[in-house]
Amino acid sequence: MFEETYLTRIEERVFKDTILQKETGAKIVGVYCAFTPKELIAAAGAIPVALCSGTSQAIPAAEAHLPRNLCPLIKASYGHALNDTCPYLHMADYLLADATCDGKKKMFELLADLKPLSLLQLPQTAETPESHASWLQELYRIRALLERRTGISITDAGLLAQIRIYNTLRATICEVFALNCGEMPLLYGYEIDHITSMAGFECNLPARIGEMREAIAAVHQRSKDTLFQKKMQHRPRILLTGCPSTNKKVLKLIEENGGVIVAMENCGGLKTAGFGVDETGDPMESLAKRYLDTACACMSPNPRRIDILKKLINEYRVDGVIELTWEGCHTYNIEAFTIERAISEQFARPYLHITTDYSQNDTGQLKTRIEAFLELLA
Amino acid sequence: MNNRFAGIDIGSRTIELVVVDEAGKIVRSLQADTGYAPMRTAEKLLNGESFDRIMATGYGRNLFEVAFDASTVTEIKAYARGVRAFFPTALAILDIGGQDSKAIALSDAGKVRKFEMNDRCAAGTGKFLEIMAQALNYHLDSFGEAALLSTKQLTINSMCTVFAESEVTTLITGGENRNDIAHGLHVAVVQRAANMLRRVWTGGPVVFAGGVARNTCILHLLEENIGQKVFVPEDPQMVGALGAALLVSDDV
Ligand code: SF4
Ligand code: SF4
Repeated sequence: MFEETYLTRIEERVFKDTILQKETGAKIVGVYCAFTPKELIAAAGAIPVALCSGTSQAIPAAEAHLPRNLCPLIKASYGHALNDTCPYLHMADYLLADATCDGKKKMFELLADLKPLSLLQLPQTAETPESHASWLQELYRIRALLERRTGISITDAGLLAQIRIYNTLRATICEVFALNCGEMPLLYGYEIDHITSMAGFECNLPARIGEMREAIAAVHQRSKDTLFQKKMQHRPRILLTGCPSTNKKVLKLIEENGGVIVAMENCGGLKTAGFGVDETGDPMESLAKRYLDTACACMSPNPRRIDILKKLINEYRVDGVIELTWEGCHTYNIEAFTIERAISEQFARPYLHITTDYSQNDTGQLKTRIEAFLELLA
Repeated sequence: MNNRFAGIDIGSRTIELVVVDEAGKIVRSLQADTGYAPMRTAEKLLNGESFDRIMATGYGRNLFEVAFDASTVTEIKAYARGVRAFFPTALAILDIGGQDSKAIALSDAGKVRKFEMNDRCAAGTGKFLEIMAQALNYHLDSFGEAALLSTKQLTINSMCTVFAESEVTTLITGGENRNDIAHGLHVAVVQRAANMLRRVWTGGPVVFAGGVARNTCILHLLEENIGQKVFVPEDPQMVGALGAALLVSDDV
């Protein structure tokens, strides 16, 4: 029901809306990580767009500048900038990037030669008052920077309005996921991916939220569809965690071989959508708190990730956990050890760790591993 | 008439076919090199064999599924089932085949509890040993025996086939004895395999299967490394095919 064509239609709609707004002077700001508060960008009248790439075409070009054993997400994102092959990046007026992992941080230094880029100096921990204070300062700096760039001053009222819209968006994404909490999951992971995708530019969010709502209503019908239920019934319920699943090859393999991804903990999934910004306090402080708490493996320690996993395993009646990490991603690959221990010892669920890149040359081997994992869950 | 069940393991190097009777006793056991046309090789193996149902495993299982309308199972589950037929109390399996290696942990009931597989490169597999044997001018079958004759500890640092080959060349030109180099290579393979095993194994009897289990030096070093006796099935390469045959017979 929610195939590629479903998403393509929405992408086209979003593109048109964006062109219209750009003609009236709106700036486009490219972002890379989950720590950048998009509310700030939107409150400055600009349009945020996430730029992490999931395709392999631009990687060879990137390898002319970057080491080969670097995370594919970083190489792909940089390669698109070099080749100018990403329409979203092409249309961006400037970039806001977070100092997360070493690979991204240093790649951004090179990227700054290709596009105007400002780096958000991210503290490495969310556990101390000092780190919160410095992050708040950093957000004030970015706020001023955005105001200078757009010529629009960000008011607290405007910021609060954006916080509300983004909270609604996050809550709606959670509602989509929640369709899989029941005894019978109603969505395949690839469908969740399409329904909740930002489809490019984050412009005209109320329309995007409306589309998600329509999808939710349509999916409810499935609870009466016996044919659908028959196909879904015996599929082991998988929770996907790890690096952002920018490239879909593993997601596809899991569902083609008889599993169903009921929930995704990674960036773009419930790690980010699962948490709203407090609407009652000072908006800047609320933003700083919410965003610094992002359960990314770049943070040390990163206790919130285990808490999220625990909650999801119970809420989504998860049979097994698959962790997808990209080759060269030290933060997630190392944290996988801690995650595996928690999953198998504390939560008593089977766990499979897959490390791969964007290429197709290990599909046969991955298929066997995923199939064997699903066999042991059956 | 008595029912017969077949299992076929289509690996990247060899194909094995095992037929069992109703009691699970092996009545036929055949092997052939996979070659460049695996389905044609499979067809030849099946020619003249009689059985009621067949299940395929190995990397070519899906090709076979389509061509012969068979059911399939992964090597992991097939090995678990096959090993238990030989050693009913086994709790872990190490398998080193031609191009991959895996470690499987079993529950008391024999179900797969956890497993590990090597990543896409052939480091530490049969292929690695084969190339190194060639580089040292040994016949693969006597490679292990030669390594056992070593009198000196040499450390090989690279597990990448290409790097290890150049490391071996450096050692040869450095005047090192070729038995010692062979031994060093065996140690490196076992080190890697034992680490993989340790990731899943929590104690209990260990079975070593796959073509490399025939290598006496690897077996010896493995036992030394994990500090206990390791069991090897009589025909370590047939375990997957046997497991598939038993699984299809369990289904009935
Ligand atoms: S996981 Fe962390 S570093 Fe990776 S995209 Fe998300 S926030 Fe950025
Ligand atoms: S996947 Fe890992 S290495 Fe790649 S950008 Fe995210 S944190 Fe960095």
